[in-house]
Amino acid sequence: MTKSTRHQQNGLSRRDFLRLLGLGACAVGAGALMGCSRSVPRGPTASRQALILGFDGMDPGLLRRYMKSGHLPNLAKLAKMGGFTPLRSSMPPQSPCAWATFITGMDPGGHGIYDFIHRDPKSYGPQLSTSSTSGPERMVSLGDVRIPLSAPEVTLHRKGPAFWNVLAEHGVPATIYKIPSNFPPEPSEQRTISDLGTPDLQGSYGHFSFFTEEPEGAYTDVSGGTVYHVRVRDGVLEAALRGPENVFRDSQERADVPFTVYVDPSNPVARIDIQDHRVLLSEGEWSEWLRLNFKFLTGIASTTGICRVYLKSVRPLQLYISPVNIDPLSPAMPIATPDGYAAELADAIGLYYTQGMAEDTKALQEGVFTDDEFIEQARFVHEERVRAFEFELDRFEEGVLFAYFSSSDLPVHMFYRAIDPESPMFSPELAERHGDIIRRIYGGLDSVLGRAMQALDDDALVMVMSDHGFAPYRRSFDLNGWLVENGYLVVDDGNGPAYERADWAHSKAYAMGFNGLYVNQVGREAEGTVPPGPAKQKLLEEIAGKLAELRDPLTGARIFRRVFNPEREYIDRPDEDVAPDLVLGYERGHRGSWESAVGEIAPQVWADNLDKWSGDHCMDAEVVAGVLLCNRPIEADRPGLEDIAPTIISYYDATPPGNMCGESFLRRS
Amino acid sequence: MTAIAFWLRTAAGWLVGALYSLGPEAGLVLVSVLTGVGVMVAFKYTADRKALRSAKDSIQAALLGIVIFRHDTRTMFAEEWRLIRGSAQYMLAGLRPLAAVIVPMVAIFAQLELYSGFDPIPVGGTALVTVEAGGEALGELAHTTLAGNAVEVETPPLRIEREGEVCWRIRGDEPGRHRLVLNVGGRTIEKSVVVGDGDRAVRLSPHRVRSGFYGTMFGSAERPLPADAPVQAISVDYEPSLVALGPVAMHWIPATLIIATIAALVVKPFLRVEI
Repeated sequence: MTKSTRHQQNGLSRRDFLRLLGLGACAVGAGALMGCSRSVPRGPTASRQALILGFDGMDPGLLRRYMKSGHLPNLAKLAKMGGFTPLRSSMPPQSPCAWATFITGMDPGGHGIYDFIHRDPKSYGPQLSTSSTSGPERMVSLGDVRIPLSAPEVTLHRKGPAFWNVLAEHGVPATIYKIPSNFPPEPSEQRTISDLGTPDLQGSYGHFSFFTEEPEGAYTDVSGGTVYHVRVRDGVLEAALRGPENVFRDSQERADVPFTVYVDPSNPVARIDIQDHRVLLSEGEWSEWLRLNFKFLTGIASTTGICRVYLKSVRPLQLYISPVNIDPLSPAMPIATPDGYAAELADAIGLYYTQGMAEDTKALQEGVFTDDEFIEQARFVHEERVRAFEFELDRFEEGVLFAYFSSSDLPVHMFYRAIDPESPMFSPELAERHGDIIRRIYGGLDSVLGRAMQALDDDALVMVMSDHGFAPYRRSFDLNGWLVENGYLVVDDGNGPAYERADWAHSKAYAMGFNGLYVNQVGREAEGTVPPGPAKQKLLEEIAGKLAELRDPLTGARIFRRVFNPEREYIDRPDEDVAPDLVLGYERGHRGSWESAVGEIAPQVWADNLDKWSGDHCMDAEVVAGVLLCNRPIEADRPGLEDIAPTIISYYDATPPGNMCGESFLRRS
Repeated sequence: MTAIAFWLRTAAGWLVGALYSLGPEAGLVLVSVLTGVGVMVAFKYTADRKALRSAKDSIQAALLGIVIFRHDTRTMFAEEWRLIRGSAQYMLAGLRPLAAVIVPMVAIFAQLELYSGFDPIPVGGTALVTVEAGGEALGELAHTTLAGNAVEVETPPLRIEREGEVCWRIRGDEPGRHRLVLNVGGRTIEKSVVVGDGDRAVRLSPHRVRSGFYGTMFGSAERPLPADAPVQAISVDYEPSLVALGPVAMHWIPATLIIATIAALVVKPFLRVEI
């Protein structure tokens, strides 16, 4: 009892001595709480085990290659037991849409997630597709202080019930460890924790801080973090870590946390003092997770977040601080169901990344990380996931266990250049140094599967799936630039995003998102010019026809495999206020530009991709199919992501809801 | 004063150590129960029971008066003044027993802090070792070395002129009580360090200080550094510990006060104590 830390592996400990010391009421309360954490009444088929491993972005071509070379014995064994086939992705094959299809068994027309990024038809500006946050409806101001009279709201835009909630209705328990497109979590009695779409404490997809003594201009256009140019004086640096926006102050200043760095006069070592933490790091070392308190109103309102510190260099000082993640022990926003599940995991495995897409690709893209530093940071993410998965696997007895791994996605985005000799970023040295990194990542996932197969009952259903595969991203196409060139979008010569400098009264169409094109429609857009109906259809056919014939001036190759109107392709009728009017399926090697994805215009319509982000999947679904491996025969010719939810539900002898458009690929027993 | 602190610390250390030898959980409970009972005994034999009774009666009467005469502002204010006066008398009557227990309690609580206030360095875990040199002596520490048995010194020294400190990060490799050896200008200074999972009752000594009442009494379980030692203090940053009281994790002080209060209330009727 005397010494207790939050990170305790064993369920029973010496602390139980005090727990038994006449604290019956407390024990009853605790017991009641524990009971609340799993209240799915058991159905007749609940004792069946189904394990689904979601390896984001695992590619069938690469998987086949590495299985053939003998590097993936467990995946090969699973394929031999039942089957291995490419898995049709959603269209567009982007993670938010694809995982929403996995969760709901519906296509984007049904679940309403059409891209990473949607647009606001009133402002033409970009919006996150999966969720939105709105502040308190009413506030009272007392001088500079603002008191909210209601709680802020975070809304999940994905529609359709999640398969685990369908299972709950049939008495099948489920643990869904990290699931994209589910932030904030859909209410559930099942254990779930969100992944992709979960913001950091600043509300972004991950915003790092980098303090450097390098001169101004060493880093330009850093979009995923902030670079602070600092000066160490007499071995001391006083600085502040950017905190979340302070909604309790009229001035909306940020709740920053000051810290001090002490640097030794000659040794490559520094100490970071931040709140209660004193962290001594040698050059090249990472700290453990640090819990920080961000004060909004002293003694009244605050929140906690967690971050890790990396001492990149001492002379000159280069200090990276990870995005401040939501603290799983005391989440500032809902990230799990039941509410205590995130803390339960942290108690078991220690603190962990809670933001989605935790591998810091931006730091690598902007030159803050080297390749090796990024690989190390990605390894931390993977190891945390493995620890959490093993914790869940150890207590997995019945129902469904789903575990999501991101290491086969973001690191592959960044290192495709090492296996693609046609990439503008390829070099023999790079191939020599990092040519096997993707194979090693796949090997790590193979080990995860191997561990699971050893632990599970022989008759358990085991499935490995991915939401999409990968293809090289060698050339960029700027759709907004093309629309300008072809007179569909009229902008002035100033700077700034297209949606701010467009002459909407004379514009007919614009791009937003990686695969979307919108018509400037009367009655929908704020300054629409194209009436819905035949005129809109004619315009869409005209643009689609031109795009379908478009060829890359450098290679002469077509760049689109498909350009289609989602109203005609999706089974469920898309929400015409939200869905793009055209969905563009790029050919292998091409992708839409970063600029068009957020409503901006790139300097050139066509460009070589000179970014380390060298592999991608925002193409056509046929180009980047995912994988499906199962220890049962797969009874379908071309299974798709929408078939997985019905398959899992049917495995428990339940009937999938009518709004699911897929069907089970397993033979009914 | 330093000598008094040393002997107080030693005596309290024996008592607490003997109780903690039964285990860390039992130790804290027994010390807490003894504290509660001890306070009751002190009240029984040192408190002015008549004054306590009188003060309590006065408070009760004032409370009753406030309720009865709530519509009579003048009388109500008079009763409130009586309430304040009664409370002050009650506190004054409690001063003598408080004076009787304050010194041993402080000494015991200082020892509890060493037993229950910190976690040992986990095996494979790390901690900071800080040597305080004082401004002028920092130069002497420029070539200081730190070594330890079963403890790995992971970093070169970090010298902070502004704070007059030198720091290292150490890693505990094997469970047990180990020695850190600081070598300064040919002189060696030792500091204990404990590595383990915290399941056994272990007295930790976060600081070893040169002298002084406060430093000797609190935060140290080691002999003071020699008066001519080239450093003022050596500290190990153990992680603060929490105790689990039922489902709630808390610092040992509130846990002790809760258990001691329960124990005091339980023995009160038997000792016929007026409080």
